[in-house]
Amino acid sequence: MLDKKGFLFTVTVFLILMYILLSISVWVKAIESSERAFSEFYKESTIELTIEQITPDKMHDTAHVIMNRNLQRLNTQAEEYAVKAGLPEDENSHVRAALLEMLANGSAASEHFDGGAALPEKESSFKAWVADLNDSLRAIGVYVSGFEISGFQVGQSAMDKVNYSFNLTLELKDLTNTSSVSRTYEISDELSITGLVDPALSRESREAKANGTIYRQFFFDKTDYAESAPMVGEIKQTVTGGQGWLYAPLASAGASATHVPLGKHIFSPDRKDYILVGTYDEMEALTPLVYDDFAGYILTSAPVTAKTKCGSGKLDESKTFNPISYSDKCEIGTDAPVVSKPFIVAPKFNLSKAPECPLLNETGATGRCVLMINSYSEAEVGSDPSKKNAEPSKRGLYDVEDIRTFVMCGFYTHNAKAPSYLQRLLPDPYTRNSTDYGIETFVIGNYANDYDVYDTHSRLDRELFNDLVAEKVRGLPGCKSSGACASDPQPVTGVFAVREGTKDDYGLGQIWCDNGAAGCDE
Amino acid sequence: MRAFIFSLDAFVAFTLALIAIYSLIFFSSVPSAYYYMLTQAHYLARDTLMAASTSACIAGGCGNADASVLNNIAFQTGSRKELIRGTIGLMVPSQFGYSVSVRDSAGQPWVVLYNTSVDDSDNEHAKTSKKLTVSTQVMVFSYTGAVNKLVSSPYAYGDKCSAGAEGTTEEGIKGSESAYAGTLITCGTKKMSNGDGTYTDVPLGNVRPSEVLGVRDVVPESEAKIVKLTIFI
Repeated sequence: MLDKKGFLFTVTVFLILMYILLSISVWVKAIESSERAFSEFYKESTIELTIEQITPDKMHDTAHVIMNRNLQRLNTQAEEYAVKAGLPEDENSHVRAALLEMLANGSAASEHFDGGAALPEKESSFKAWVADLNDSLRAIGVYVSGFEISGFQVGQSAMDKVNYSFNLTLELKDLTNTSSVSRTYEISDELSITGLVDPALSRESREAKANGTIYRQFFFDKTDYAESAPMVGEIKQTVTGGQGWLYAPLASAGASATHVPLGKHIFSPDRKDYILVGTYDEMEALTPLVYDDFAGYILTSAPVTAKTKCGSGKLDESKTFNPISYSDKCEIGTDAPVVSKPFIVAPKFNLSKAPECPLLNETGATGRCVLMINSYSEAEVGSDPSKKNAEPSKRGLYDVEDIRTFVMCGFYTHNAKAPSYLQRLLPDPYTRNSTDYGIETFVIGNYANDYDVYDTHSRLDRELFNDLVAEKVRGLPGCKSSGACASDPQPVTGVFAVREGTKDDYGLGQIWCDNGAAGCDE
Repeated sequence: MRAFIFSLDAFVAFTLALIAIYSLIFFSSVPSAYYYMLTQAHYLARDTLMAASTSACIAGGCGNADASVLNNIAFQTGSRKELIRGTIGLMVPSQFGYSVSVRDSAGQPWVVLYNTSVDDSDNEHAKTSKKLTVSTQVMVFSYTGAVNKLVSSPYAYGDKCSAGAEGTTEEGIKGSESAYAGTLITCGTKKMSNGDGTYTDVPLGNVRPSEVLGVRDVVPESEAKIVKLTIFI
């Protein structure tokens, strides 16, 4: 009986001990489970946070940063080495391939360029981005296991925009490879080329002149200069006579007007930069001591005429510059006051309606400028006074501020005959053209003034290097007066000139030097 | 029989004692009471960083108003104390403390940009951790510096050259605010060193824009940084 009790006692003890051990085991498992659940919660939260970080918007921004950087790198490379052209039906294939390689790996193979090395860079690629991302993610138990770019396309959506699109697939895993998330992002955006150096102009100018590379940047004003349209306006005005031609800001000999200084208030050495405007009496009141300092004149009073015995149409003039007079033998001549500078007689000219222009002096103030053109030069009128009033159809007053602004601001504009931005990355850019996105600009200034290289070539960029002499254009840089435009001494800016087609595109026919009016080389 | 009951009673008592001991061990070793705090701090840190990464930077101390608060915190140079206090600091309740750190890339140490525990001027937030500390990290990706591409013509011809760029949202600097400002496209020059202490005036149009602007590249390299927000409770 006692043995039986002892056995039961022992069994009971073991049962109780087993119970205790099982209970402890369950507790431990419960704790482990609880901790695991908490750890899982954090892991899921971490993956969730990672995914939240890589939103389509974030990917869009990341791709934009990488592509913006890579377009500039490609552009810089193309300033020296053109990107190879593909087949005619896909001439941008190497541009696309180079940008794709840079987007994925940060470097483009040398096979895409006409000379020059590949473009290595550690950062600015998805490869580098993923590596950086993994550096941060591994610390929290997640990593990007791979990425794939597909359907990469590059083109232009506007004359100043490069657009791109591609699909990016990212795969994220946790470090134990038990969780995996894959996402595909459809990315498309556009990049502005504004501010980038024109690679075609750089390359071509480098070839034309050693150490004379021209670095012009793309700038656009799509509001006022969306197209290569006529940019010169005639100021409707009756012009009865004059001599020579001149572009300059105006000064008043009499009545004041907004943005027009009084001639007598202008410092004597500066008067040579202005056209004096006023009636003959107002000019005379200033005395020759003052008005002789000015570069030219617009007389707003008609000459007083008197009949002569020499027949109808042969009138003696007075109260004007270089008044015509007939001798007793009816020989034509000129009375005093004689001026050898350009002037025009425009009796109804209204100072306050002249176009505004910036004064290119230290003040930077606004003035009013006109281009006045007569039928004959000062020398021609001097030798034959009758030419002062001859051929009225060739003389006039012109508003050239639109074309001057376009040139002086360095803008590019659309022309179907010109190469697009992407074509400017390719070899022989100026033999290419794009109907929709072709762009062109004028190249004029001290950076392109070597007459041995550029002579009087057309200043349109796509015509600058073709060695064909063009015709000068009045009122534009290097050609603001006949003295400067005659190229002796040669203007430091070079002389603005264009060829026939460009003259028509920009409406320069009335002001270019070959239009039969007072010439530019006299 | 009595011995048996005595023994059984002893074992029951022993079992109860064990239960009590293990319960004490369980409740003291597992911070179940802090789960809610931990969760709260985790969400707070995460949401704060997410808000910072999606909010435009209009607070004081913002260097680049076009970029997010987080980008400014990560990529600005110099002290970012004002920016962090004016953004992150407003989102973290005052009973908690926080610190913001940034790391450039692999192998680089964390750089603490701001920590309430060492900022004597911040008397609102907690200075030390009393119960727990929670950190959350996010990655930000941007340029290594400012984009210096000109968004408008910089040349001087009245105010007409930059007129076409009004309202532009492109990245870069206005031409009128660049080193080109005030120069004529036809006559502008830049003094370039000849390397022997003398200088030559070179036409601006023959100088690389990056040299005129004084930068290496008009569009700088890109860079990833990791921002860590640590909440003290």
